[in-house]
Amino acid sequence: MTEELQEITLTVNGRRHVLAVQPRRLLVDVLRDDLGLPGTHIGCEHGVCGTCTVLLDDASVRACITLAVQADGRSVRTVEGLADGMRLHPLQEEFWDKQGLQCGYCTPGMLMRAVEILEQVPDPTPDQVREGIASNLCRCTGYQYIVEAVLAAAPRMRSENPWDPTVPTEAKA
Amino acid sequence: MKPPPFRYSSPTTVADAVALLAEHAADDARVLAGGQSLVPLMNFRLAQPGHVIDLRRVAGLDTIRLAGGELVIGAMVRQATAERSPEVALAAPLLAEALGHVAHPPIRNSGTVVGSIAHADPAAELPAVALAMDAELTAVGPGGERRITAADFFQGPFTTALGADEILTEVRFRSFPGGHAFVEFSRTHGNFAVVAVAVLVALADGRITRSAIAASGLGGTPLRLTAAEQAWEGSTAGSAAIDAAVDAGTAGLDPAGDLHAGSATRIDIARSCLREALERATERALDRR
Amino acid sequence: MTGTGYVGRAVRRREDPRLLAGRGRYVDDVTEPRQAYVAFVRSPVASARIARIDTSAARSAPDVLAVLTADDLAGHCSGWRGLLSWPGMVAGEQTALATGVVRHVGEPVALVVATGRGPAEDAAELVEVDYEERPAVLDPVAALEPGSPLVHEELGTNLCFASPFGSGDVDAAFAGADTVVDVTVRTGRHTAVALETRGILAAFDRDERTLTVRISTQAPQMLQTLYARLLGLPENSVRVITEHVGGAFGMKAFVYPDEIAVAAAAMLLDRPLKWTQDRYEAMQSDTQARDERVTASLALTADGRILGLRSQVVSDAGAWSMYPRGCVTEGVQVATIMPGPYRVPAVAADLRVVYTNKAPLAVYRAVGHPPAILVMELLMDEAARALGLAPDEVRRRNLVRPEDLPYTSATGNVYDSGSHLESLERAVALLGPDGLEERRRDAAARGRLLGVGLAAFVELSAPGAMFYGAKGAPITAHDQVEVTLQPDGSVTVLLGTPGQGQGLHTTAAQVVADGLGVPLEAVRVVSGDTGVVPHGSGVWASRSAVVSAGAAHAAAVEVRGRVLALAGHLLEADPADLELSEGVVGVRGVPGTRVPVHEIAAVAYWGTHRLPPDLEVGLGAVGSYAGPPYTFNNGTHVAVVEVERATGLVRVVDYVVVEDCGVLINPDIVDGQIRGGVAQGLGGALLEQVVHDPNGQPQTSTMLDYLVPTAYDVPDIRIEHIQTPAPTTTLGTKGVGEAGTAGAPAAVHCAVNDALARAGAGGVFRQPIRPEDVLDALDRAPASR
Repeated sequence: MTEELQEITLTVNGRRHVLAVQPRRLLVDVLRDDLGLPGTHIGCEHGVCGTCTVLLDDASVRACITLAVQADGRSVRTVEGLADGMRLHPLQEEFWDKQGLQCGYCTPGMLMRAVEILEQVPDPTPDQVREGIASNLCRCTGYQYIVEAVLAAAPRMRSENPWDPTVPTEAKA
Repeated sequence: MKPPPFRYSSPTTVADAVALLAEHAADDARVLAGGQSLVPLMNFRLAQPGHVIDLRRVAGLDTIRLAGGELVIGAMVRQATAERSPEVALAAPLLAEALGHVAHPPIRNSGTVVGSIAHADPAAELPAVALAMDAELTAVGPGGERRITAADFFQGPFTTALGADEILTEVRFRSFPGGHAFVEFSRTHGNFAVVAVAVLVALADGRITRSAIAASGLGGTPLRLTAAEQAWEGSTAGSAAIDAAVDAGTAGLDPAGDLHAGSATRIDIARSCLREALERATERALDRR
Repeated sequence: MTGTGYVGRAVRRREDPRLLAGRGRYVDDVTEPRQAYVAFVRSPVASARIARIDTSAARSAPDVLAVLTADDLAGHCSGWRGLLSWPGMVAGEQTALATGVVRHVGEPVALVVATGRGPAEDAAELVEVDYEERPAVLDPVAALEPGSPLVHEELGTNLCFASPFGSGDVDAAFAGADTVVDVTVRTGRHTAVALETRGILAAFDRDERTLTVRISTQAPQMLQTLYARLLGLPENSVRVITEHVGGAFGMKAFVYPDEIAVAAAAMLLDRPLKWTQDRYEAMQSDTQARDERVTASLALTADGRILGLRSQVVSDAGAWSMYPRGCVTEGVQVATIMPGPYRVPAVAADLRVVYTNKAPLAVYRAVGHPPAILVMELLMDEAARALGLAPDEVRRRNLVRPEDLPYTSATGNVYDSGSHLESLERAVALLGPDGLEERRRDAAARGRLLGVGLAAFVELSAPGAMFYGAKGAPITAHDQVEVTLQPDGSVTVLLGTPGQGQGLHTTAAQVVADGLGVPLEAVRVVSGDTGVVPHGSGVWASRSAVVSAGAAHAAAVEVRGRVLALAGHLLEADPADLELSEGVVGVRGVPGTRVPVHEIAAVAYWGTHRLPPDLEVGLGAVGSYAGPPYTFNNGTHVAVVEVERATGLVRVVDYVVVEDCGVLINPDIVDGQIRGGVAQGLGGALLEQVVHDPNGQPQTSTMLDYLVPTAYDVPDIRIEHIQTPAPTTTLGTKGVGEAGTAGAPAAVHCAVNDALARAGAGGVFRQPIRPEDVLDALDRAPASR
């Protein structure tokens, strides 16, 4: 079958892209292969593991079960957009500090899901974090340090100075 | 696991969508809403539509509204939107509660309420809610618009009364004054339910006047447990009534087993979920008065 | 050791910033010019003869470059047998693509090359294969009956390997026993579910005749050797690159037929080829594990002392003995690890490893330990019930005591050090048994049964060459590390074994900084490219903290010695009087003399005219370390579970680990390994199982069916360490990467059975423990529900 290319506009990490894609292309493949953003990983291609999680109009979605055409005209945030240059986002900082990763494969998806959790619930309980990140599988860490990292990032993201790593956090204290 | 090739349309009106569906009928055209069921099936190549008709640009399908005592949810309303909607909380708290059990938030951010009902997975939450709430589905086809009751809609696993040339545009829930509860059992958080139970109950003077009970995971379609409804309606709300409803509701069930739970285990789990749901719905009904 | 003291500190992992930024480089993240994509045609049936393959439609499909079958690869890629020199072991010959016969669902049959993965999959659907189906062999016990269909006709039997293990007079032990308890246990077939699926990007340079393979593997040098051998190239013409690896757990330590088929095809087609496995393929073709049927009995005296242990183990090997590690390691470990940390004077184990028409069984995190420890701990609990002893007491009476060390088990394992008894006492204390009754009442009020389970264990780590090399497999057990002091005083460390998630770059840097005497920040670590790094054995069997660290230390100490020799000459001092710490050379007892190491390095690099000719000026050294035959870590886990009476759902609500892996290089990294290991073990106990239908079709080919633990399923884990240094290793370290997974299945399982016993119900003796199994046990109990 000849697929007609579809022209779509994606705003990815603040940058607007106009692309011609085959309708069958998955959003995750377009991010990785067409836009050169391989930080968003592929783990299952059926929406279960969460490694491909990105924010679509600020809501987390599985990029592996989203057709790129479905994201036409919308904004996408990926792990590559979290850090400010070489300055890590508070969540990235806390994942580092608390060792919320080992092999790193689930990490981009986990971070994006954590961003959404903290944007929706700025001061979550440990149970809320645990239940919230249950959407994303990690096979290495046993999750405890990830939960601790998200909890530690919360007060920093609420503070006026979230990017300042010297701002003391409750969890660190 | 990449989808097979297909042609793609994103019409802007329901009429255009229906026309495209007719035009590409021979090409196994499929309608795409949130895609949270269809796209994985395409990745596995279990679905190979030759043409996909995306509803995302169709005007008017993304609204939730209250109309004449009914809650109307359009075909492009995401589950997460409905979950947070004040209209849903007011008119269909059972639906709101059930939505919290549908997979995980990242799935609910894309998946639609109508899409989940249309997919008719016998293990899914929303078909059971639609059945308990006597929901009506609005189908539009070449011959115009018709309403299909939930009771008529679900015909088998992944099989519905929707015609191949029809598109679901909305689901309508009638408000049920009283108590509600949605309880489900799954082996890991957010995985498919083994069994889920939806309960609505109205009380008057401490007696159960009216109820609606439905379950998923116990057959090829969601089941309305009418025997349970009849068993406790008219009784004084309390443990005896709940016992009677649990026994009646699970008598004669013969669900197919799978690797997560055999038939007998499903019934045990159904009894537990049903009891918890009946108790919680009754408590809420009592609180409401 | 110079005592700057990085070893023992929980420094942050240097691997993490780029992974956190999404700048990791996993195989699929890298693209070569002219790269084409591969998809496989795989067997849809468990056992069949291939009558015909027609690739014509696929070859003429759009964007298709080639379609290859076994015939096309014959002569370009040799076959192999996953055979080790275990007496009597047999194994069939395997080829990259199935030759004539398919033996499990998912076995690769044909390979399609196209300009994209989508078109490759489209064309794969067009390959026509006629399968003449044969009855599948699925039950390893029935497979040994005369007349059973054979997985490998050429072998004439389904029995891969059979052997007794153990020593001592077991018959006398049982004859003289006051109490005998027995269990029959079935553990579930697992698969690793690494979140990064397998993948390979292979490119052949026709001019240089070199093959570069970028692959998600644990053992790059092993693949270098074997790809060279099978593809007919000299080893120095094969370069294996493995940067980031998204989980492996033992599963990525093999020559996989699909992967080497891609390498062979890349050579044949003279085009870089990438294959990224999808999850559906992973669930059907990754190695599987833990499928063990064990019957065991324990003979005890009336006061609870163990006299002897008997076991029969049937290991379901699946269709192939994976190359080159083979399929018997798990069964052998089940048989020989079973006595665990207990004094068991006589053991008789009988192992049979059997071929069936399933994906191959091979090593998976804590190889064989989970079933072995599970069986032993179930026996201990049965003994406790039979004798009216508390579970901790029966263990206490049998654990290896300090005065017993070194202790040689009746299966021949030597425990040279450890804290077997102390770890139990500490774990019981850490649990806080005083509050248990209250927790039980609280659970009961919520319709739940509370149970507590103990698992005391030893875990064999960092095995030497006797494991594989001595059995004829081309798997080295030693590691090399090259440490170079650069002219500016910075240090480059080339690790033979790649770091891939376990924090090895961080721990190696800590070891080198201490061993050489430089600041941690001065050390840069490189690994994962056989074209650059020295030899290494890879990431397996909890070996890096022992073997890689030992090699790193050796290299660092060698370089330090050279620096001090140079400094001695320059400072006109006896090198023995010099110290090197934090990058500064000083003279002991002479406070004013401080020379930065880069000044000495500068002389070594471009001031050699100042040095006598016989002085070694090279500031790079390769350290090698083979380590002892193995090290045993030990520990005790305590799990607390709640069992929901109405539904049979088990939730782990509390978890305690006391672990003794010797000296800790980086406590946070060790704790991370333990937590992740426990989560995996918990999954094994409660969730994970590959299930086949009666025709051998896997029923668990999606992650909705094969369940792994989510954050909601794993409790916080409380960890304490005992540090009994290994007397045999350079740094006193013992391996620990698998310890969590070794102990957790038993602890969780014993906790469930404890909960059931308190409701008057008998136990469950299979894993995973499904709601169904719990409900069945409760149903069988008199008046329990």
